[in-house]
This record gives sequence, structure tokens and C-alpha cells, in this order.
Amino acid sequence: MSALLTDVLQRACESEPLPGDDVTADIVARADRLHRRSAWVLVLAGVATIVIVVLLGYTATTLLLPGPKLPTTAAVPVPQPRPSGVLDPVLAKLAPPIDAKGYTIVPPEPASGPGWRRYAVHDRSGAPRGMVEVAVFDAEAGLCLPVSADPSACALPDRTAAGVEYARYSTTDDVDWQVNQVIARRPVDGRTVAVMATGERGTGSAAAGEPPLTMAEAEAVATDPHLPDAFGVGERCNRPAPSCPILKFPVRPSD
Amino acid sequence: MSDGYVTQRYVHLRRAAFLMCGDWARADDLTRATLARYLNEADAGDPDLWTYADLMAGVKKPRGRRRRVFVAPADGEAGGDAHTVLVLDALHGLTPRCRAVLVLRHFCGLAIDETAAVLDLDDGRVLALEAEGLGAFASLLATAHPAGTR
Repeated sequence: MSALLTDVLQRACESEPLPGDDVTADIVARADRLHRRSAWVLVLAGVATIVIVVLLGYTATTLLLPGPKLPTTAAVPVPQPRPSGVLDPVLAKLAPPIDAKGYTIVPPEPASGPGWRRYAVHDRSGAPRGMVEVAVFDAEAGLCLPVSADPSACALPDRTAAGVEYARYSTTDDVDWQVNQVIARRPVDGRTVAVMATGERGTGSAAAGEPPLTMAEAEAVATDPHLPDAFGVGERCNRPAPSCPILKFPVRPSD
Repeated sequence: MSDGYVTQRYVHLRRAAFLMCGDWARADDLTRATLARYLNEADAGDPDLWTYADLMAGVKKPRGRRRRVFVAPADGEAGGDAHTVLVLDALHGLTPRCRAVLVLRHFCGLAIDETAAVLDLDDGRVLALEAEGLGAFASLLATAHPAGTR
């Protein structure tokens, strides 16, 4: 059967038409086209792979890595100039005389702490004009207002119509360190505030180093009976309070 | 991988393809495509087995909905060969695998294991297909008539 089948199959091919001209050349040309196509496919596959890897990497990076942190509304860490009157309650009391001069508040770092606030002041041209520091104390038992000439003595306070006791301190002898400071105590609860306006230091000029608040302005701010309420309950700079500003004329609550 | 191999194998491969597909034009195209791929194949192993395997794979690919349509060559004398039509008709009455086994074993002269390697079958399966194909082919040849006479 095998030989017979082979013969049958061979006979079936006897009607074979003649092959075309240059069969080998045509096959070689086809092989060249295939080769070029394969090379192109290889290149395109490589490019596609790179694109896919890049896209996957970008997507994974975007989805998995945390983005930039949005600033919280609770903190104001950016030392940008801003209108004085829209800041914290303490500044709301302080802002009117500053704004009236066309000055700008720029919070330095650190700008505040438990019981104290610090505000840098710039003039219209952006030049620094010193700073204002406000600190609050508890002095239920009374206060020993310092006397410059005698560290052991206590000064008698002045008193406003609202009953706030206060004392004013000013030092302008050193043009590079001019200070206007007022210490005021609310007798009803002993809450005491110290407002210290310090002119820009090291200017060598009495005018340029002038404190950003005049003594009258500092007195008006410090003796505002509501200024202690601008601080939170429990905020105080009573000793020990290492983070509180060092006042030119320190507050000494009576024991 | 040389042009000499291509020239040497072209005619035989074209005949094998014709027995598989029944169309000289398609057989010619399949054979040229197989040999072109062979020239681009860096690791063909046994060239004969590689080209047979590629050719059989090419024949298996469907071409539309046409089935069992035998295209005679333009040559009037050859085209009228009733024997050719009868054999092709009988071959195409078999399953494609049976047909491939018969062509590879009895036209190409491959051994059982070579046929199995070309068709990716085991030897036992080749033997079974061959037996099945021979029986069916003999029966078909005995009962078939040339196309156009039934």
C-alpha cells in the first residue's frame, strides 16, 4: 500500500505548472523584507516597552508617593508681610497704631509661644523697624514694678480710669537699642501684660532705631483691659518660662 | 541557510504543499514564504524538518470559507488530469492531520519519529493517524469519482 500510495501521490503532481522566473531571487527578496520587518517590529516593541515602563513608573509614583503637604489653617509659618489687623487677637489690639503708620507686621520665627507673641515690623519700603513683644503673666498677689536705678525697689503704678495699674519704661540713651515698654496689671484677676517695643538694633541712628510704637501707643495697647483676654486661658510667662522673650524691664510678680 | 538549499528544495516543497491544499498558486506562495522564513531562521536545526513543519503550519492557516476547491493549472492538458482531481478529492476527504501524516510519510518519505516531530505529535499518534488515513484513503479512492462526473 505504501509504495502504491507514494506512486499515486507523485502522479497527482504530474500536472505541476512550471515555476515562475527567478524563484530563488524572489524568495531571497521575501527573506530580506521579512528581516527588515522583524527589525522594525523589534525596535517598535522596544520603544513600546520603554513607554509602558515610563508610564507605569509615573503612575506608580503619582499614586503611591505622598504629594506636597498642604499648609494647615492652624499654623501661620510663612514669614510673609500681611495686613496687621487680620492676625491673632493680640495683634488685633496691637495693629491699629502699627497700621496707622503704614507699617507692616512680619512674624519672625519663632513668632509665638505659650504666653507670648513676637511681631517684627517693617516700614513702607520694607526696611525693618524693630519688633514688638507682648507677654502675659499671672500676678494675683500683686506686682513689683521694677525701678531702673534700684533693682531691689518696687515702683508705684499709675492707674487708668478702668482701674488698670501700669508703669512705663523707656530707654533711648543707646541709639542702637531703644526700648519703649509698658507693664500693666488688671487688678480684678491679676492678669498682667508687658508690651515691649524695641527699635531696629545696630542702625547707628536715633531715628532709624526708634521703636515701632511710641510710649503713648505702647501704653494704650498695654492698658487695654481686654488685652489679657487675647491670650488663651492658662497662657503665662511666669518663671520658669525659658521660651518667653527676655524683657528689658522684667516683670516680678509678688510671692 | 543558503540560496542553494532554497533552489534544491523548492520544487519538492511546492508539490507537498499542493497535496495539502490542492491549489498550485497557493502552494507556490506557501512554499516561497516558508523558504523565506527559513533564510531568516538563525537556529533552524534540521533544515528539512524545519521547513516541513513551517509548511504544514502555513497550510493549516484558514483562508476564508473556501473548502475543497481544487484549482487546476492554466495548462489545459494538465488541468484535465482526472487522476489528480481524484487523488486530491480523496485526500481532502481526510482530516487535516491524517492528510499531513500521509503526505509526510508517503510523499516526503519521513520516518515515524520525524513525522511526529514535524507535526508535534507522539509516535503512537502518528501511527494511529497513518493507519486511519490509509484505510480511509483507500476506501475513498475506491469509491470516489473525478470531480464533475458525479
